[in-house]
Amino acid sequence: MLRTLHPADRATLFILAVVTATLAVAAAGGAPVAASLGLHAGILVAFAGLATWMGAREGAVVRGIAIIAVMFTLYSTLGHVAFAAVPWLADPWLAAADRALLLGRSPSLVVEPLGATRWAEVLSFGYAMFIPYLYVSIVLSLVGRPPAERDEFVTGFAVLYALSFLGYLFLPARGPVVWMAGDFTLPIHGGTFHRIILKSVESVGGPHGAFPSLHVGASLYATLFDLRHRNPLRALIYLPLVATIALATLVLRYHYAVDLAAAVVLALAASHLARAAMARRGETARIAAEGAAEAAA
Amino acid sequence: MIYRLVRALWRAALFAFFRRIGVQGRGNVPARGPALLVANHTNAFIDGLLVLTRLERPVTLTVKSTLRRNPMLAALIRAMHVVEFHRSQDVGEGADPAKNVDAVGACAARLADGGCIVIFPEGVSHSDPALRPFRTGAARIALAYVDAHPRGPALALVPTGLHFEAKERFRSSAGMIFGEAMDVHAWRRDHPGGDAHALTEEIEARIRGLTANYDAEREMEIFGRAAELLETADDGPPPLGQEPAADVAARVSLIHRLQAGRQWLGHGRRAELEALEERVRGFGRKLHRLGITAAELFLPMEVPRAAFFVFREMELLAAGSPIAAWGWMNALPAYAVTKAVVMKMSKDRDHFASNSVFLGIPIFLLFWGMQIALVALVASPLRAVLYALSLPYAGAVALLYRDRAGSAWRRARTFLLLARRPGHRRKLVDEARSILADLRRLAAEFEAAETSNAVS
Repeated sequence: MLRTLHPADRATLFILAVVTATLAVAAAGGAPVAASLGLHAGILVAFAGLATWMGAREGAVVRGIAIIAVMFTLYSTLGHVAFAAVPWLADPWLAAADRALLLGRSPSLVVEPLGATRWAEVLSFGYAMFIPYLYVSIVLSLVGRPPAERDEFVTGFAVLYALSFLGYLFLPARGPVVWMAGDFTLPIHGGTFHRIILKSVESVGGPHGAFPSLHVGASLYATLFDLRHRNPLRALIYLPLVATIALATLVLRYHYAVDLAAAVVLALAASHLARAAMARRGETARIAAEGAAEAAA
Repeated sequence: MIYRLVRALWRAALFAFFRRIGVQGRGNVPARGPALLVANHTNAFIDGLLVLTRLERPVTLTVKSTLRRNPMLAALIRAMHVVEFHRSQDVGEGADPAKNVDAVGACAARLADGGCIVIFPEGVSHSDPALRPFRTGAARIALAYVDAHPRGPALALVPTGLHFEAKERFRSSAGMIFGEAMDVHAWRRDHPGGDAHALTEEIEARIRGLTANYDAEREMEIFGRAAELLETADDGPPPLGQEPAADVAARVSLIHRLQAGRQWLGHGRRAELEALEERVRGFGRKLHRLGITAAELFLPMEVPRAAFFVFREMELLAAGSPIAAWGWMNALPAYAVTKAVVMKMSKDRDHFASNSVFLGIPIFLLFWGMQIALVALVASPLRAVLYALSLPYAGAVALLYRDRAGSAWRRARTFLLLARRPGHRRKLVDEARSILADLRRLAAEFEAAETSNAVS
């Protein structure tokens, strides 16, 4: 049954199953996650039904929309529930790993002075541009594309988010902005864009899900996808934006440096795995077609 | 080290000059061991550079001896261990054909070391519609190696076809096909009395199979138009940015098929052939007047698709405009000087791309070096470093942006042109389909005739 499913569906079902199972264990242990368990179990059942209905159909736009909807829902639900479901906080480990990266100095504190300058607003603008960049990239990857490319994008997207959510779930962290609040001595010199970011973070209940940085992972993945699919111009144009987003997440104190490193690795891995999965599917389809032709002959 | 550095510079220069370089059959070139790449010669230095930059393994170039008179090229020839050949027509310019024995020996020795050599047996770069007669140099090198090393390692002789969309045009496309490698040791065994002339004939036949050759320029136009129509296959052009890599091998094979079909039709059905050619030519002229290609005639005309096209292109071009403007602004002085010098120095179509690449590299390095120094002087070393990093990046964006903006403009113009005259478009589409139907009918008849000939 699982083998007949599309790789993107498998990745989505995997993370939904892991989340639901984790919440079930947490609920059994007395954690207050019953409502979340119901919600995630419902999403799991609904998506399983949809995946079964779609089967291995190639290039279905509905698959892309469904998977992106599931992943964006998980992005907003998972961050907070992880703190209730998992009895540990990863911030101290991530902060320690960060210091180890710079031989004892925290990268967040090293870039702190930059946040106190006008650059903070420039970086806030870059950070805010993540959403339009990601949404436009999704539209351009789903519409007007050959089905195989559409499937590859959706598969890589599902793999990237599924792997990242493992980090959100099992390494729950609020980032330097909360954990290291007492260590920062300079306020962020933000303007309109920084205020917009603060409001949007507050609207989802405050900082959560630090490891890995999906801002960096998703934007880099979109760039890699363009680079691999005959659109080097778009990839080159947005490369500085990806770099700005990465620097902004650090300067605006939402992420540790290790979150960025993990995001880069995951984006590369998702890109590679999606390509490999599509190649394997293509090969399987070719062998099946040859078999059918031989049988017909 | 020097080889890698120079190759990287040449790669960058070719990336700047050509919009697209398609490579097919790269797997036919062995990754190691002696290999002799034998190619047609239509674009002077560019031919060798294309081969050298598209392969990961080091490639030894062969050139005419007179190039050494240019001090810059002489230094490059030394640094890149290029082998020089003395052509008989260059005797007046100091060439000594007697030295070619040494050149052949040097090539054979390079092959014995497991090297890879590229050579152009036509001996001269040209713009003729067909291959020029082959000289025996390539065959002599191959046989010299095989005779000196009868037990191997096996020498792979790889016929190579080089193609240029419009070699005198900046940002045009190029393509190359590496044909099936020929085992020269096996050829020697199969042709015990075979000499350099016999091997040259074999090589020429193989390269002829990888290139399109015409009796006259006029033929190029007809076959080009017919091939374009057949490739269109009633389908619109692919969306911008999603164009598949050019299949040069398929185009060459189609041209060969058309040529064979033309010959078949010419025997006994001359009037039909001439009428068809006239229709193809007339149709081509109509498209030319409109400034569109056959594929563009089948451009989808639905409004939602057009709206999506506008959204996609506007997003890309709006987001890229600041970087592209920065790239153009900083490349403009070097670009203008390179263009002026190249125009002055290029006496025929063959020289334009070569001069652009060879002169562009030092001119750009000089100008960019001065610009970086200026920034370091008026700003700070850190800003100079950032500025230096921005130059190649923004330059690449500017080039790709120029291509994309040009294509988007062309596509939008075509759409509006066809949308304004739907009746005219319908007529042209009908005409295209009618010619296509006739071409396909004749292709089927030709195939049937071939089959019956083969059976009888």
